Amino acid sequence: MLSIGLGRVATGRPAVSAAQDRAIFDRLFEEYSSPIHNYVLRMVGDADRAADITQDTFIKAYRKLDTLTDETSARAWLYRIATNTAIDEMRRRRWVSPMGSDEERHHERPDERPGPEAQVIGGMLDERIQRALMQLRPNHRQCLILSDLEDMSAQQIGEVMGLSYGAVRTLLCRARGEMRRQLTVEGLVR
Amino acid sequence: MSFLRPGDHPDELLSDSLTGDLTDVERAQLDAHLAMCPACRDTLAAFAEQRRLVSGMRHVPPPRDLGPRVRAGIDSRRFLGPPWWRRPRALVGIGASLASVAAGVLAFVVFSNLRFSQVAESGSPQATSTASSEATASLDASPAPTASAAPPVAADPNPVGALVYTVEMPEARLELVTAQGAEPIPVESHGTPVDATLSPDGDWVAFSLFGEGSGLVDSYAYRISDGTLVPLTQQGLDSPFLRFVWSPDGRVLAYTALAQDASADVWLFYPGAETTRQLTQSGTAFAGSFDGSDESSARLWVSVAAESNASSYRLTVPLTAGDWVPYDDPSTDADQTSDGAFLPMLNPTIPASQAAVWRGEMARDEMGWHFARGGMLYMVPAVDGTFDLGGGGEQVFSSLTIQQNGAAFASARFEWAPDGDGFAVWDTQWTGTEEGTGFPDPQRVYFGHVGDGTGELITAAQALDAADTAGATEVVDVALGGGQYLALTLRTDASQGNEFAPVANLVLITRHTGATPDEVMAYGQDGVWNGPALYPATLEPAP
Repeated sequence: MLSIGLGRVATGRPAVSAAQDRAIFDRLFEEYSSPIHNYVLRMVGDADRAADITQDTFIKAYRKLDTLTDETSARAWLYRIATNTAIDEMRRRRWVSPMGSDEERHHERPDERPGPEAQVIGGMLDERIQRALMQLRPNHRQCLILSDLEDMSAQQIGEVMGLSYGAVRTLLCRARGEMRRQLTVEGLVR
Repeated sequence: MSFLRPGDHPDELLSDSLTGDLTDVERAQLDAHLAMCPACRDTLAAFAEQRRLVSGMRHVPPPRDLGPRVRAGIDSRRFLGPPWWRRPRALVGIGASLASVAAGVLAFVVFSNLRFSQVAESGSPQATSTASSEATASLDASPAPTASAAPPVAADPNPVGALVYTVEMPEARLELVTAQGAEPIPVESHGTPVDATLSPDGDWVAFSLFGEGSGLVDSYAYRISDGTLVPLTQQGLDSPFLRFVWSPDGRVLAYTALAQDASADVWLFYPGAETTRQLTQSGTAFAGSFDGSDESSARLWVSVAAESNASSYRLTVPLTAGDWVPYDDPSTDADQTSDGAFLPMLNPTIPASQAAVWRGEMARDEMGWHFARGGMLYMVPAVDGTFDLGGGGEQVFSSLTIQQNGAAFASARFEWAPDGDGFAVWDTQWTGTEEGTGFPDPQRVYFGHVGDGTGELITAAQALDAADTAGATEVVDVALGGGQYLALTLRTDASQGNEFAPVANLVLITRHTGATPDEVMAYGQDGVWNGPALYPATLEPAP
């Protein structure tokens, strides 16, 4: 007899014990908490928000472990949860403080660019790249980060974003074009 | 891009060249183009430089207390910082629902105090007067009609409720809107509601959300009287063959979980126990329809998709939750088998008098199952209480023929009206040559009646007026109210590219045939996602 636990959700994954769930989760946290945090940080551009989103991502992941059918697909699965969590958070934030957001202020102060000598300082360079990233539409920013920072293929990005291979290629191209314009504003590319 | 013309600048190939996503042919095309195009050489250099810059960004480790925070969140079974959709607003809604339980009555009247306004008649660009929608139907928690009850005959133009998804300051929320007001539904995963079905006793809504970011589907059952929310599926694929199917007495809901690897299995939800049970584990099974019930069990048609012909099996399922071994092969315990039939959709009269059913050769790809050859929808009448699902009946689309190469329907969506006579077909994916001026059209809704006496079910003449869906980018859902009434959920691009705030209009159609244009009423919340609508699963007999 197969006993299905109260409230289990229909997925293709066989039922496992809570201890097994915890062991799987611990492995995932060990391997992915740092890259997921870094990815989220580049998505939202704020350390405190990134920590909160990463925290929520892993709590959700634990609660949805029964939707993970295969540990080999864990990376895309976790990035997908992180992405949805970050988008939810950004959506809320967008409506809470659209006028006073950091993004808006950055957009209005292109003249505050540091001089050429500052570009050699890694932190300042990061800040300017991040500023350019934050000017992108969220889905452009997401696929660009997944490609260039996380080094995912178009196929892998499609798994995270729920898009076809062709759609990712098109989106990535548009994102690169937009990022080029923003980096030009920052004086980092021609 | 298959070729480059003079003057083209292949930005997409330039972008793909950075990640190795080019075929040999594309690489050769790009190299040849770069040799003669300084602008593209500049673009490639800029793209490469920005990739170098982004990839070289400093890796920032997470805070040291992240692990303890996550563990604390898991152990407490809630988020440390409550997610915004669970804050007091939702609790107030549930409290209000509990109050209604205390009153001992669940009776929500039709949309009489909701803002339906008549926006236009077909063929008329001008708005007309506001319509009055008086309450004429009610739901209560009494058992559904038994087999001896008179068939439902009354129809009402107004749905009894609708889901509404709103993204506005400061949050996004999903609500069930009825004449009694709006009840927030505290779902964990947000997305646009794309399907919703009311239980026969009117107390439960089964619904699906389509993740705007993920493209995956979550589904839930929600008890209106006290706000109980039970997850049914998470992160599944969408398919036109997914249905919420209530047993005639509402004691069990059958549904299909379509996993991301396209494996499909039938599950059951028991409202009385607020729990789910897996019925099949073949990876190819879809929930069709219930076909009668008695005190302790109901008969459920389960279809098994196959690369060649599908088959359908009628199984007996208990009306109370228990433990059992899910079927690897549903045929083992079937009391009826129909080879070649897929997804029997029986009309909701008691007993059922008609069944729509698919036949054809199926195929499976990464998005699930569809018909690869000869896919056609048939309407099969009951003869002596049984259906010849594998061979009887007539084509729903009377004038279309399966073409010599097998081209026909890949899929379509189908819905019965609660009167058991009307039905709608939409999202028609016809792979053959279109008839006349675009028939069938995937953007149109086809509305037919079994008993209209014409001898034909669906032809081009049964399409709703084009003006009914004007401005829509997608017909998301069709709900039918019986008689000549439909409620359409129509996605629009009114969000103007704002991906955070998808928009759908809920329009109420009163269908007219011939030269008389349909009447079109719109639910008046602009800029939000309105729908799907809810009609009673059965209609009250006429007084």
